[in-house]
Amino acid sequence: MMLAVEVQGLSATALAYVAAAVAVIGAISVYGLLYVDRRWASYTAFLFEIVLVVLFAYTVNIVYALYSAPGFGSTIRDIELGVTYQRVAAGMLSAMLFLAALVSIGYYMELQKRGEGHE
Amino acid sequence: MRALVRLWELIIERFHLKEFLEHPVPRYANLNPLYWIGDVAAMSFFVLAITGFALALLYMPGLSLTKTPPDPLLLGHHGKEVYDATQSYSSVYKITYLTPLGFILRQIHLWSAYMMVFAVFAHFFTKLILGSYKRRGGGALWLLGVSLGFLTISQTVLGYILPLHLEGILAIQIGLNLFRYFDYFGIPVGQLVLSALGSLFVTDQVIKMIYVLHILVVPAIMLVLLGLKINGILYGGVSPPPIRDEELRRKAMEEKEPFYPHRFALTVGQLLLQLSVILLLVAMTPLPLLEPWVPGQQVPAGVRPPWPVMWYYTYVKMIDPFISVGLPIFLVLFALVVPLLDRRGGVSIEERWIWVAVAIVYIAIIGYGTVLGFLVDIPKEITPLTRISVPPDYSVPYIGTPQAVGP
Repeated sequence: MMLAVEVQGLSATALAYVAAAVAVIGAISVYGLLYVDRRWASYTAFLFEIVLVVLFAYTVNIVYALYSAPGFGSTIRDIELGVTYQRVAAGMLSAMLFLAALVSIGYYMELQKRGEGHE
Repeated sequence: MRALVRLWELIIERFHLKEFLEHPVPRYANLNPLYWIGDVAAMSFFVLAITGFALALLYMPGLSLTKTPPDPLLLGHHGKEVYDATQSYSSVYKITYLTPLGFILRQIHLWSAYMMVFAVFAHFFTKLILGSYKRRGGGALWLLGVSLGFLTISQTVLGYILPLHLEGILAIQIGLNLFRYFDYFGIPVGQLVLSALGSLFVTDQVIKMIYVLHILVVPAIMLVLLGLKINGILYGGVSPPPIRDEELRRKAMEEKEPFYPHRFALTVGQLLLQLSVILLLVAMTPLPLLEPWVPGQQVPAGVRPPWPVMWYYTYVKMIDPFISVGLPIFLVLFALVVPLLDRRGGVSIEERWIWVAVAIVYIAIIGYGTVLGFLVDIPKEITPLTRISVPPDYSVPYIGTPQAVGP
């Protein structure tokens, strides 16, 4: 018997747009603040990381619910849906790592400016 | 917070990490991105090891046939309900499409592999142009690097074979043909490899052997070589900067920063950035699982090998096989003896124009073959099996299911 798998939650497209908006605003804010004060840049990055973690957890939750639904995989449409949500989750993870990378490289740039550690 | 700082200090002290963490790194090597490319390759190796471990738990090598639905990412196949596919292909299908987060896992593995190959090529050309082997211990590091590069390409091909899709089978056909031609050099290396595989056909045993080579043997060798390379860089220092003026060069080499926190912050940032790029590629351009192969099936026209060996495939079809089959061996052997040939001159680009030209020739050979391979349509009649001239009588260049002999 073929069961229609439906998602009761935000669509993958909506989630992707929300995550992209958060990621772009977050990246611009963190990059801008790195020129002002690295500490504030880190706090801002942390804030955006929390928002992205919540979105990521929500998306992964949908992925697990989808894959454990009775009859999942009986149609190609199910698999397409699963892959789409997973791609959105990958994008969110990418944004989270990008923000963390900005802060880490920003820290090195600050060390350079301070001129610490020269032998 | 104070307790955490105390714990960190205790770890540094008890594990004798102070010397390692504070070893001096030249400032120019931190600021110049040309000195990070090797790190990208090394990081990719560890990402591949972690994702590969998870994939190895789920992958099942084997040739027995099962029914598999079509790939949802491959356009034009939505009409077909199910395919016949091997156990290997079915297990990869299950990982990719029927396991939660399995899709991301496999895509990270694929994109990391491509990133590693790209970084290895870029690292090789950068170090050739910069003449990084022109210092004490540089030749040994160069030898390790070329060997690691060769093993990386081998790993890509071995990994590409494992799902047993049509492209993978094409890769194994090229590989088996290559082994036949190793006998031209008077040493039956190819025959020895084929005897070790136990068959000229793609059998369960051959696939298992490729699996073991891919997940255990080659990575273990790579890990040892990588360890030696990191050790050489740690104690021998990084390559000199490409500055002509000796005084300025010496000054640049003397200006150093401790590894921790300077280079450490940069390396962490680079790793995070690298993972971010890989995940963005996974999200934006996912690579579909290619069409399955069934034992005995001929590889149809239009099927291409993976891009790291595309250039080689193009030359095998274009040029006389006696020359084209030996081309990669020549390229690797020449790369190995470069430090012996390049003994004069400085390390600046102006003084190294011959070696810049050599690097351009290498890039041209590999780039031309790769681009041409993707642009020119491959006619069905010309496959590596049909184009290569008559093999020795004792080897059978047929890939398919072995037939039972006797009653």
